[in-house]
Parts: sequence; C-alpha cells; structure tokens
Amino acid sequence: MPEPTLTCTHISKHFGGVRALNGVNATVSQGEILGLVGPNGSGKSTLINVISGQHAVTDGQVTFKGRDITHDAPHTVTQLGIARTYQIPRPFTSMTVLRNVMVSSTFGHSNRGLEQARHDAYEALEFTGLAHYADKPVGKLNLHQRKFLELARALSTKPELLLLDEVMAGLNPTEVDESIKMIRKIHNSGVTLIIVEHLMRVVTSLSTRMLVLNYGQVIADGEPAQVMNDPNVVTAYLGKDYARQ
Amino acid sequence: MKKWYGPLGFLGVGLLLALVPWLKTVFGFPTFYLIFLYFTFFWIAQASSWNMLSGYSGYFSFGQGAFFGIGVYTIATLIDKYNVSFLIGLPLGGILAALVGLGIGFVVFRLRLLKGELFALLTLAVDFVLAAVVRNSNAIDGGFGVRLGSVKPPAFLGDFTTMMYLLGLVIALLTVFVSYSIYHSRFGLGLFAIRDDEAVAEGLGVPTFRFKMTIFALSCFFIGLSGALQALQIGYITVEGIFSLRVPLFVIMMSILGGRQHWLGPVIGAVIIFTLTDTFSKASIEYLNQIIIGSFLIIMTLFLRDGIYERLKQRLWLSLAVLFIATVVLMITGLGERLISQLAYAMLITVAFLLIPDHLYHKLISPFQFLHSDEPVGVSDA
Repeated sequence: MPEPTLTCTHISKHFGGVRALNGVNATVSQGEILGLVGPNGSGKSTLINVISGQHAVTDGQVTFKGRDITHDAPHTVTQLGIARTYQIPRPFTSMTVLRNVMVSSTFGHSNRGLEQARHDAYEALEFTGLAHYADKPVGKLNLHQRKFLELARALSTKPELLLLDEVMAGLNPTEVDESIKMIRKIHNSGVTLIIVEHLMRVVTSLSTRMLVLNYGQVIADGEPAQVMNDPNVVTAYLGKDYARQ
Repeated sequence: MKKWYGPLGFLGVGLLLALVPWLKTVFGFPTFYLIFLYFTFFWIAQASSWNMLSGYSGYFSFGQGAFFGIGVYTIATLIDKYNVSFLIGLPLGGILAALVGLGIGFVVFRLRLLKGELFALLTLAVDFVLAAVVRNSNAIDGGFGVRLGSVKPPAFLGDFTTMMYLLGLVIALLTVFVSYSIYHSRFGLGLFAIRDDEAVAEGLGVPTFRFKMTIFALSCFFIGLSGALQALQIGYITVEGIFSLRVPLFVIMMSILGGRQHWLGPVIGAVIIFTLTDTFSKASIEYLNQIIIGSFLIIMTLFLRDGIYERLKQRLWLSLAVLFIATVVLMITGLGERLISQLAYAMLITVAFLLIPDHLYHKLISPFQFLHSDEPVGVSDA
C-alpha cells in the first residue's frame, strides 16, 4: 500500500466541554476521493477545519506528504497544497469574480506576480465555466455559481488535496448533477479529494472510500458499499431498530 | 498600464508643485497661499496614511493621534532637549511611530478577537495612554508644553515657509505614492481580501499576520513623519493639542468622504474638507463651521456611501467642467472674496453636482448624449 498523502493521527478537538473530535484517525492516499459522512454535529466540518489549519487541535497530529502540518497557519497549509471550500460560499464581496480568484492564484501557491496570477485565475474560471462572469461583481452570481466560484478559488491554488465542504447543499437536482460532473473533472485532473456531503446517493457514487463519523469518533472506514451496510452506520443514521433487521 | 506611467505622473506633479515657491517670488502672491498649501499637504499625508491601514485592510483605527503625537514629541524632544537637527528628527519621528505600531500590532493581531470596534477602541486607548505618559514625564513634556525655538532652514530650502512647503510636498507625495503602489500591488490585493473576509483570505494563502504588521508599520511611519514636520509648524506643543481627537476625526472624515476603496479617495477628501474648514473659519462664521461640516458629513454619508471618488470616476469630465466653470464665475463676479473661499464654494457646487442621484443625472444628460455616444447609458426607462 502506498504512503498516504494525508495522515490524521488521534485528532482531538474540544470546544470547552464539547468534544467535537475524539481520537480520530484518518488517511487519504493519492488519487482517492474520500467521502466524509456522518449525522449533523458529528465533527465533519471540524475535521476539515483542523486539516486546513483553521482550528488548533487539542491533541493529535496531521501530516501531509510526510511533513507535520499540525501547527502550521492556514496560509502555509494552502501553499503546501491543501485547498478547501466553504459550505456557505464566502466570496470577497467588494471584488469582481476575477479578482476573487486572483487572491488565491496570487497567494495560494508560490509567490507569483499579478500578471501570471490573472492568467491563472482566468484559467480556473474557464475550468469551472465562470469565465464570462470574470468582470462582474460577485453580487451577480447565484448560489450555484458562488459554489463554483469557491471551487475556482480553491483550484487556482493548484492543490494536491482538495477539501470540499458540502458543495451540493442547497442546490437543485440539475445543479447537483453539474456539480458531480465538476468533481469528477477535478478528480480526473489529478487532485485527491475529501468530500463532506449529506446526499448519500452522491457521496456513495463519487467516493472511492468512505469514512463515517459519529459524536466525533470514526465508526466506519472502507468501501462505500461495505460502509453503508455496517450496522454501526445504520444505527447512527436510522436508530437501532433498523440496524437489527 | 505601463509600469513607469504612475511614478512618472507623481514625479511630474511633484516637479510642478515644487515650482510654486519660485512662482511666488516671480509674481509676488501672498505667502499665505504657501502656508495654505502646506496644510493641505499635511492633511493629504495624514488621511492617506490612515487609509492605507484602515481603508485598505478594514482595521478601523481611532489611534491616529497617538502616532501623530509620537512623531511630534520625538522631534520636539530631540530639538528641545538634545539639540539635534530637525532633519534627523523628521525620519526618527516616523521610525519611532512605526516601531510602536509594530509593538502594538504584534499583541493586537495575535489576538484574533481584536477586530472591528474592539480594534478601534484599543487604538483610541493607546492615544489616551500615550497622552498620560507624555504629560507626566518631565523628560518629554511634563505638562507645561514644549516651545520649539525658530528652526533655521538649511540654505537650499529657502526661508521657513518655503522649506515647510517643500518638505510637506515631499512627504505628502511620498505617502500618496506608497498608497498608490500598494493599491496596484499583490500586497494591496491581499489587504483588500483581508478587509472583505480575513479568515477566507488566510485560507486562500494570504499571510494575514505579516501583511497586517507591515501595513500598520507603514501607516504609522507616515503618520509619524508627517507629524514630526507639523511640530515645526505648530511651534508651541501641548499634550492637549497634540493628543486631542482632532487629527483622528479629521482623517476619518476625509477618507470616508473621499472614498476608502481607492488611493485617491483620501486625497480628494483632504483637499475638500481642509479648504472648506479653512474658508468657514476665516469667514467669521467660526461658530457655524462645525455645524456646516457636520451637516456636510451627514449628507455625504447618506447619499454618497462609497465616497466622492466612486461617483467622480463616473462623471469625471462633467465634474471637472462644473468645478472649472464655478471657479471662473466666482472669480469674475468676485463672490466669496478670497481665492481659497472661491475654490471652496466651487468644490461645494461640484460636490452638489455629484450628489445628483444616478437616475436623475441620466435624465439630465440624455439630451446631450451625442457628446459621448461611445458610452452606454446605465439607466433607460423609456
């Protein structure tokens, strides 16, 4: 088995008395799409925040390509090759669509001049199909487009690992299908992915492996089909009665 | 845009303005105009340095007075107590202000909680603390004020007024040029991202802590430098005068009125506000001054939210035409008595023109559309 790209070892994150994550172990290898699922409040977003450096851990270690990134600042983590998107899009509201992406293409990878960054940003917009909105203010974009803008920003940092936090939430079925295509396209371009998703249909079809969290602990880790039939997972989602059947 | 375009423009404006003292000796216009222009430069430098921190990065500072005071008291102490040349005192004023800024920034920016109104309050507190320290420290002031003897200008800078004019010009130009350069650089892009959403900016790779420290230090340096020069102009320095809220309130007002999103905003704001206050305080309506400026501020924040610059950009040529015609008419009719007052009234008229709401404006100019047919009209309700 190849050396995992990302390794989370015994991650704990406590908010006061709340144990959002409790001894979580997780790995992602290159080329995988890891589906991160679990009921509301199970710690999925917290884990994303820990990996991307937004939250300091209470305990544990995160390594990326053999380097300990547990205590690195978010911007360092991004520059090392881990990008993320937000569940609720957070564009820079005073800027145009292109400038939004320029922020990440300028700072997200290595030191780049503005001209090169503009070029890269435009490329990311073309990839996500937003190129003709380049000079529009962000206010003109709808939710679906804002989610794709999040993707464009993340992609313009040229990540090796991309953390997608609920890209599909709030989208209509057509938009969900487009998003699935987009995620496949990103994966095919050689990016390893961790996707947090509530839509089981989507996550089981996309993922190469799934990790299920409940109350901040890993309750299942493996092939989608196998994970979905795991009694622990069924219990976590539907209650004990269903698990017995 | 070509790289040398901007620096060359600044150089050109600088050289033209540097000719003014020479024109004065040729045409013999009153010294008063040089002093007026010096103060305009002072406010341009102050407002621009405030804006490069607070306008660009969104960290709203009320602490302008503190760093201004550091500049003033650095040079005053050096001249008064240690007999050091003011030419050394000037940069030292800026450097000391920057160092204090770095110290405060290191503490404040480490604590992520200190944003928004808390940051504003904290910087205000710095002002009060420094005032107390200076007032109670005999080595600096001790509560009696410091009287700077007349400063002897070096021969190449002419007499005192000319020297102040030239140094004020250099500092203002330098400040605005730095502000302009940041605006067009990747550093500026990072700062704007911080202003919009700091956590996201950091997540996309912007080294937010380093950028905030850098811009805070730069801003403080120019506040201190310009403050140090102002010390020579004031002559008699008191804690109450220096650490008062006058400087912070004025730079905030100027930047907001002019527009915080662009490097030109605070320059425009400084010129208009200073010319207006100068006019009203001289026109023996001193008691009305604050009321007028206050109402002006209210009207502007209500109807020109993004500042004068944003509107001016859209109506540039017509606004300049209004300004020019108004000035000429006022000068010919002799209304407003002094040239500066006439300029102030002309500016007021131009601002009034800018206050016309967009839909009314487009109706007004629609008969003259053939004048600029290449520009599409934003509103059409035909």
